[in-house]
Amino acid sequence: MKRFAASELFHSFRHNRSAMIGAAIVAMFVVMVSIGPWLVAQDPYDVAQLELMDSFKPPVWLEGGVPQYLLGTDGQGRDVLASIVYGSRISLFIGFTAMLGSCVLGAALGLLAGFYGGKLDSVIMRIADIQLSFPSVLTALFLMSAFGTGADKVLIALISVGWVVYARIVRGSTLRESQKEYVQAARVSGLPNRKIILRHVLPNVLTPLIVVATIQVGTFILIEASLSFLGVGVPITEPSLGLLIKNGFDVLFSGLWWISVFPGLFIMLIVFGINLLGDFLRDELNPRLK
Amino acid sequence: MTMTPLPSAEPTATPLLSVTGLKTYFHTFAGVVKAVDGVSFDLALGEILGLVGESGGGKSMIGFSIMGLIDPPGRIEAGEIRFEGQDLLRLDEARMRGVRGKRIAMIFQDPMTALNPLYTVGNQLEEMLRLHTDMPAGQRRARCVEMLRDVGIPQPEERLDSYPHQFSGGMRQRVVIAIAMIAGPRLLIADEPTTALDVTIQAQLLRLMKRQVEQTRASLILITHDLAAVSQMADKVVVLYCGRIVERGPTARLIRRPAHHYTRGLLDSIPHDDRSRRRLHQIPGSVPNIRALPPGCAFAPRCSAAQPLCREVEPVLAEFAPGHAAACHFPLEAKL
Amino acid sequence: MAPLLQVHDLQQRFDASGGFFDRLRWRDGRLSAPRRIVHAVNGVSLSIGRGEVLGIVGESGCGKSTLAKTVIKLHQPTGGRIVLDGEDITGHDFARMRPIRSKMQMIFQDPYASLNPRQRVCDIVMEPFLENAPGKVRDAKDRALALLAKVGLGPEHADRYPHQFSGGQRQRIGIARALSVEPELIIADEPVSALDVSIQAQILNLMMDLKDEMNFSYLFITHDLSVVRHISDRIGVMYLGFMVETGSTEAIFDTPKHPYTRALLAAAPVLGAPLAAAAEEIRGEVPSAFHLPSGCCFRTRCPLAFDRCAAERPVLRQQGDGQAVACHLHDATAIAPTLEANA
Repeated sequence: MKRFAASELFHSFRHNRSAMIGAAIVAMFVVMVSIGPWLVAQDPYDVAQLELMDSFKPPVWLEGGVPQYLLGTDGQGRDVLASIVYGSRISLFIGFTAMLGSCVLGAALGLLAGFYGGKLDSVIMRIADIQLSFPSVLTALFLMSAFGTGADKVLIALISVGWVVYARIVRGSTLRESQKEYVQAARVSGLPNRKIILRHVLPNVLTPLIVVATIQVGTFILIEASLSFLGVGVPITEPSLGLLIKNGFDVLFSGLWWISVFPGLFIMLIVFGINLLGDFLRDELNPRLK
Repeated sequence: MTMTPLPSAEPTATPLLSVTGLKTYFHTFAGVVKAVDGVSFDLALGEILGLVGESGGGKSMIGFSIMGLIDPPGRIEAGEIRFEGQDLLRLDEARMRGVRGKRIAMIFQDPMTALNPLYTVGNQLEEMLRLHTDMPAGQRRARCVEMLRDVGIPQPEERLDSYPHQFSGGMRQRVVIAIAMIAGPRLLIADEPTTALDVTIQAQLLRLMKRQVEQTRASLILITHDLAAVSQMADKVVVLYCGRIVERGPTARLIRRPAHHYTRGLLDSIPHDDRSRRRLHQIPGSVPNIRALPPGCAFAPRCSAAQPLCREVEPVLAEFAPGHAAACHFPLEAKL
Repeated sequence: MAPLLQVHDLQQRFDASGGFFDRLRWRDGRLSAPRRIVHAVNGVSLSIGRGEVLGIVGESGCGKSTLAKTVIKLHQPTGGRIVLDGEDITGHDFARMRPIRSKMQMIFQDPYASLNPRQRVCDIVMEPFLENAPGKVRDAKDRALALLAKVGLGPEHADRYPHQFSGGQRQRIGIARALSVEPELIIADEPVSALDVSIQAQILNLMMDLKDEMNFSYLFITHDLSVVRHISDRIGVMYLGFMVETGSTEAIFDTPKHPYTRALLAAAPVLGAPLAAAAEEIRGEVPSAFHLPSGCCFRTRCPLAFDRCAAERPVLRQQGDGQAVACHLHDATAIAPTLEANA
């Protein structure tokens, strides 16, 4: 940690305002999803805590708003703020897990394709091409129709599209690194391929992934929101921010805007924060821009 | 025709290029890098100057400073670069652009990246004529063909329409030289122009550059780490160490009787014909961290003749023979 | 005593044509998928005795690096034989190469690319040893320190990462790595060409001192004539994948016989000497290794080429005193018409 504080990365971070804003936003969300449930008064999915009497209350600063519900309530009397806190958990969980899954799967396939080349490379990269031409909505629809809704299906849909970008980057870096003399030196030392890949190639192809992984969390949150909005995402029992928008959408034009708009604003905010951070990392970790 | 009295001094008395006290610093996270630290030298018209030093010596940065191509975090802190009577450091970017390419041209080490892969060689040659001369469009092509022939490219009429990737490395560097010379610059700066090329090609190109410079009466600054190549090309040599000049002088004299221990060490570490001497002379240690140079003489930690004085007081460049100067408290020459 | 390494008629070709769709061409009204073959090494034979230094010199693209990497089996040769210490290793697979790895090691050209940036120095230098040692070795750290000391690095360097070292120090680390298994043959591929002159001398001295101390052999690849002259007992000159001349260092430099060798020697810059006269310079450039010229590989640039050079490929012929040259001009069995005329 001391080494990081003294590093050049941290130094330029301290001098980059947008990176600090991005980090602050992301940190705020992390705090919100980890301790938020203990701060809001209501568990919006515990039916026992809902008061139907309090349905469609506007935000506190509008006429009819109550301090108990800062951002108003929806048709079932759920606190919008509490829904957002719980929804953010699901959105972030899905975004982050899908990113991790894509990263591991994509990196592994990219390493194999780049290191061994030949037929294996062709097969993996053609599958990647096919995946790219296949929108995640379609994959999600297919999975849904076959297995029903659920966060796990959303994850599979996201990962099945998300791994491609890692595979491509890792394959490219692997091709480049494998040509380097230290990999040849490892061969001359008599290391088996498995050890060469894990000990020599893998640690040297990871850096560019950090940038992609960061930005992808934001992208995945957006895609998940779209899927949920379209009704092919998470089930109603575990609503993400996207599903909250959909719930409010039905009554949006009746002037009950807050049910949709606040979750939307939160999606915007988190993706914005993640992208600021990602842009900073892209500039810092890209040796060509240095 | 008017009868103006001739100026009393010959025009050769004012050198083509005169660099005085040039300091180019880079302000990085880890500290200030004094890439060029108080460098002064003159270059007369028609003269060839060799800038020699090892990596980190600051030789390339002198070339970039003259061309006005220092980008942040780099900055020219002090000094004067007087070229044809005007101080280049005082020119604004627009007027500098008129000097760059037209009056001063530069050749880089890597002929692969110096040419734009998307344009034909002819386009790139003509571009220089269009930018820097008032030659009518009709004559430009003929001039380009002539230039390509001059630098020894066979079938220049056809090759004019080729793209850079259709040339080999050596031919590409010839094209780069042609582009540099076509606008008739007075000064050519060549930064390691043959390092990326083979020995046999290297000899061809060095000869070509020498001939081009002689024919057009231009001057040449040859920046290189290769003392042997410099000894064959240059009229005078400037030896750099850690951004400072350690020795400068006429080539033959400097090679035969080096005064600075670093120059001597460099010359001696080139493997020799004499196979009986099994071990090469070596300069111990390595180049110090340029962000934290030792006080006194930067070479003192590696110098076999260093005295306590060397570690305390930085020696100044002192001339002890016409044109031959060294920055050393205990120069080799003094013993003779 | 049999030589340590014997290479016989070694050939190395690469298919550079890429995938099937990249190769597809429409030519003469037909669809075809021709292959593009790089002829990198074309029938090279050499031998190295124990404690001997064989220098291979040539320009870029002459196949000298490929030769080195094929001998150490980074590439599988497409033809010929490699015999190390009496054992034919040409067809050895990974498992059978393993014991060979401790007899033959390599020093690489680029001190920046040849060390894994994420590995500590002590792990780098011990990797070949640990990989070839039977079972775990407890004194690995001590061995690493001893190795580092041997190449002039202190114990404080052991736990650092490569980026904390200068080019010369990195090359020392690379040398220590090669020495960790106490090899009998070290293949050095341009080990000093990326270094500054003053550091070059340090590394060359170190390499020669280590050789004298441990009595291994070098196959030393370089493009630098002054370096190869300094370090080698014998020299082979390569051009376009062919060995055009071999002989003792003195013979090559004092009585070069092949026109290419002569041109190469003439072109090398010599301190204080005037630029070589244009007459001695060879014109043109190296032909493509995709399409070798017929007959002699050098005939397209040779000022002395005659009919036979295009018709027949010259082979290395002994010229007495161990010097051999692949040139029709030096074929004693036939009449060499132009040698005197042009000499």
